[in-house]
Amino acid sequence: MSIEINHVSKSYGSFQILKNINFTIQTGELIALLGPSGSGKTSLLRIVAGLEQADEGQIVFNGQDLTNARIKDRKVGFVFQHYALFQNMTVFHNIAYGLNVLPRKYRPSKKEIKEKVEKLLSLIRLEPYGKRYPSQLSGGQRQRVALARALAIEPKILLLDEPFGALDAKVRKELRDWLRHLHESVGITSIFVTHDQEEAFEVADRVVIMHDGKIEQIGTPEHVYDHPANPFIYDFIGSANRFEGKIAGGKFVDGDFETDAPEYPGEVTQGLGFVRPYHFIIEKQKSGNQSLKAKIKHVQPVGPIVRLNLERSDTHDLLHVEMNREEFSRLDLHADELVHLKVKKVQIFSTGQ
Amino acid sequence: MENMIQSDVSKQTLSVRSSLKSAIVRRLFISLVFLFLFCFLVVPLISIFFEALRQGAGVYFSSFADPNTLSSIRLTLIVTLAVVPINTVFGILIAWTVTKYAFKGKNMLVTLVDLPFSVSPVIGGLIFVLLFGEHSELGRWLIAHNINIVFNVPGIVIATLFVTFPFVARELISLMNHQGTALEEASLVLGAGAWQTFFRVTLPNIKWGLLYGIILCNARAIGEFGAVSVVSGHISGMTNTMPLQIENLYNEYQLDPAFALASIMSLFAIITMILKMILEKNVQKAANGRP
Repeated sequence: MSIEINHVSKSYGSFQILKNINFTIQTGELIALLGPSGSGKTSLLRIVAGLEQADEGQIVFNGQDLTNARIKDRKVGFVFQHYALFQNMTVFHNIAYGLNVLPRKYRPSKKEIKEKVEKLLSLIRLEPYGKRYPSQLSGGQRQRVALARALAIEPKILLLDEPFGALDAKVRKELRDWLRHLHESVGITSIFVTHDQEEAFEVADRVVIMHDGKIEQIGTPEHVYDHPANPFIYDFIGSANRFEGKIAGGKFVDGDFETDAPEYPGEVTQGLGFVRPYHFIIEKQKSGNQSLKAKIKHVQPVGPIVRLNLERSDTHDLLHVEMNREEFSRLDLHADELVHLKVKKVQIFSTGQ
Repeated sequence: MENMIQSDVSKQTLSVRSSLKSAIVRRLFISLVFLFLFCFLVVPLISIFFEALRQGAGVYFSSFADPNTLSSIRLTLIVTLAVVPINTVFGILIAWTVTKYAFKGKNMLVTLVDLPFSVSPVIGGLIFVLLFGEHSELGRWLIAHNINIVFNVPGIVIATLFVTFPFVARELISLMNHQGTALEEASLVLGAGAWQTFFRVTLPNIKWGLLYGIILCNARAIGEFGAVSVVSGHISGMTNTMPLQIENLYNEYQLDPAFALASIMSLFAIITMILKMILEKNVQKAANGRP
């Protein structure tokens, strides 16, 4: 089922949390709403679910305007950040809840409900846990029960609010892969909210990046990663080194750092440059004239890569550089050594002042 | 400078702690508390039963043969049976409204719930005498239509309703505030209606707090003196509840029946306390039960 979000705005008192949000989700897509806290992503999800009302705008499911429809008529599955499992019911009855509350003429028989719940229990790999209470499960297990409960009503749309936010890193990773797999096998249109860019990029078909109640960029993970639309996104989606300087005559200059900026020929403005940690070349001897002198402050091997902290000799700002182990040992680098940095790739934004 | 202040403070707390830790001070405090509670709570309670049973069981039970005493027990039961269910339903309604919806004037409503606690019960009673008695238009109209509220059972019920209203509501507001609305939202999203959500999700989560509030409300409804005293008119055998009848007997120097009746009320108070103790544990668990 496709979802159209048409010009949705929402305020809490004098604070506007959503400002004219407008985009469409295709049937079967898995969308990540990504943004820092307070960006309005959870409010948008709750408006789609009907848990909150938009002040302006429309929510359209498959061409049908459901802006003012009741929650139960929307047939959405919703997974809450803190699971929201019913403590007084077993896992079985939690999953069966949405079926048991159906009006008698639509309600499946006890046997059908039992079969369905058992199928879902095997889908979440918790077959032996039907008789347990939520308090007897781990966080990851609870979240899977919450997912099964949402899927039991066969929703056309699945909404997940920071589904893995309260779990530890390893369980997060597992559940993330599992969600991706589940989405591929069930094919249900899904939106999930997260503030973790890695999670969003790994799981989603498309990422919607929100900031201050507005959409900053929409695109596939590759596209957003390779072509961030503005400085905010560059900063937000990954650790990037930031250079503040001037653009003049097709060049960007910040202290001793100089690079070509052919997309801004002739203009003279303030600009920002971003370089990802692995887009640096470290040389012991200066070569060419576009290189930057820096001192190695700290070396930290992390798994297959090595992270280096360097201090620029001109501004004394810190730079973060990453390289693989082989390259690191080939260069034979040590702390407190002076080196020369060149950039392989840089993105320049004019800040227009 | 800051460091100096900090170290001063930490020295102070250290010395307070060490003096608190000393065994003599600790024992002194504990014995003082026990002595106080014993003198002012336990001794009077025991003396009630002692006085009631001093003349033997025969005199004790014959006290309840008095038709006025019997009628006071009956009236107290009627009032309690009328008041507790009404305040339970409205207590739930108010707690639900205040904790699950956002609206203007919410804080004022929560403050208003406490009004009966901050107003003297005598004033509570007086309000209803003025409102429904001969002094007001409404009262004169009611009396002309043969509806007598003041100096009658309805007046006693209304006064007791007023005084005991906050118990259930207050208990539930704090509990439901703590529990939040996520479970109700989950239930609604799964297709349940409002009633289904209330009976399947909300009620099981608040049942211990609700029971706790009901017990307190019940105890107060039985024991209320001030407000009831003003509206009742003290008609023996007609509008005297148990506490009023005790005062009546005492003023007539009938000490044995007065203490006999008092012993029943005290017994009820003790049962209330035991139930309260059991429930308190469960309420704690319910409040902490959610992740």
